[in-house]
Amino acid sequence: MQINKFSLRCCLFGLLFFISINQTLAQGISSETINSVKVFDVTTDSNFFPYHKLLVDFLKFQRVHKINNICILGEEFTDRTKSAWIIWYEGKKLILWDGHNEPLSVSRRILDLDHDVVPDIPDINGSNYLVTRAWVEQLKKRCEAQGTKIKITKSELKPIKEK
Amino acid sequence: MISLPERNSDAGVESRVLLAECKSPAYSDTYTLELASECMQLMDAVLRNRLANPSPYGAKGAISLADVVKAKGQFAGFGKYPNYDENIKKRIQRALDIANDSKDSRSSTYSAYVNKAIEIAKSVKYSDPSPGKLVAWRTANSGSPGKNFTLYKTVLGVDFYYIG
Repeated sequence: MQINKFSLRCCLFGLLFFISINQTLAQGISSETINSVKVFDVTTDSNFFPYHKLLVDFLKFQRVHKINNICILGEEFTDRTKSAWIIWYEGKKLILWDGHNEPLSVSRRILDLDHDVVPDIPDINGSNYLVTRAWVEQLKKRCEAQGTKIKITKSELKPIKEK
Repeated sequence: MISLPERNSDAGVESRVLLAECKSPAYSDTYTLELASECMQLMDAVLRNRLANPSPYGAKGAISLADVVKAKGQFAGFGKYPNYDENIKKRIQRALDIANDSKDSRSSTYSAYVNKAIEIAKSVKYSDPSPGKLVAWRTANSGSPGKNFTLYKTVLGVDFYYIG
């Protein structure tokens, strides 16, 4: 009887595993080559410390919204360099930030989520900047789970009046 | 006084692409001139391999590097070359300004960085150290450029890919 229960559990576990794998494949995640990257916290990294000031400076020159919701995901790559993706939801932009005091406007990569996102990998066709929808969604999920969430209101973007 | 080669020449196109795409000395925690040089040399190989075989990358009939970089959807901000993205212009001008300002303590490292881009862009020779043909680069960990591409290596936050 015990053996039967054990067999049943094994079958159930196998079935759940099979369903899980199929769901992952259906979402297209397996077709994305995501290297194993280490996530780091930009708020405690000395090279990424001025994130709030740089964001405010960047937004001052953009068409800003009343509330700007931003998520920053710091990543350390296999060559041990660090960068952070900044997701600006209202502006529909992904901004690559390599840290330090460099203005975000001179970033190596600023992606427009309306124009620079393609359905699947074959649509990238060798491009150095187009990204897939699945990659963007995965980045957003990872950022929601592990990134730094910031809200910047329009009042923070007004120039300080001199007394 | 450092200035870039004429915009419409191959060296002019390439030097601008290298300065737009390779990390500058601003990122002092990881930047070295050796790594920047390697990054630029690998990009040089990509551009020249594409010029030798432009059709698969939307540049059929290309006879210059300008034709290669303005292929639709291939190189960020360079699609309408000789006009190119304002933010990239700012990035390049910032590097040139620092390099040419002798009072700026960063001048020598930026001069070396800009001069390296010009030297590689002007060089007729190039080498491709990959096992196949280097034909693409992307921001590290931003996904593959296509199904037949293999990751060669990552340098200064840039993934380089080859085919074959």
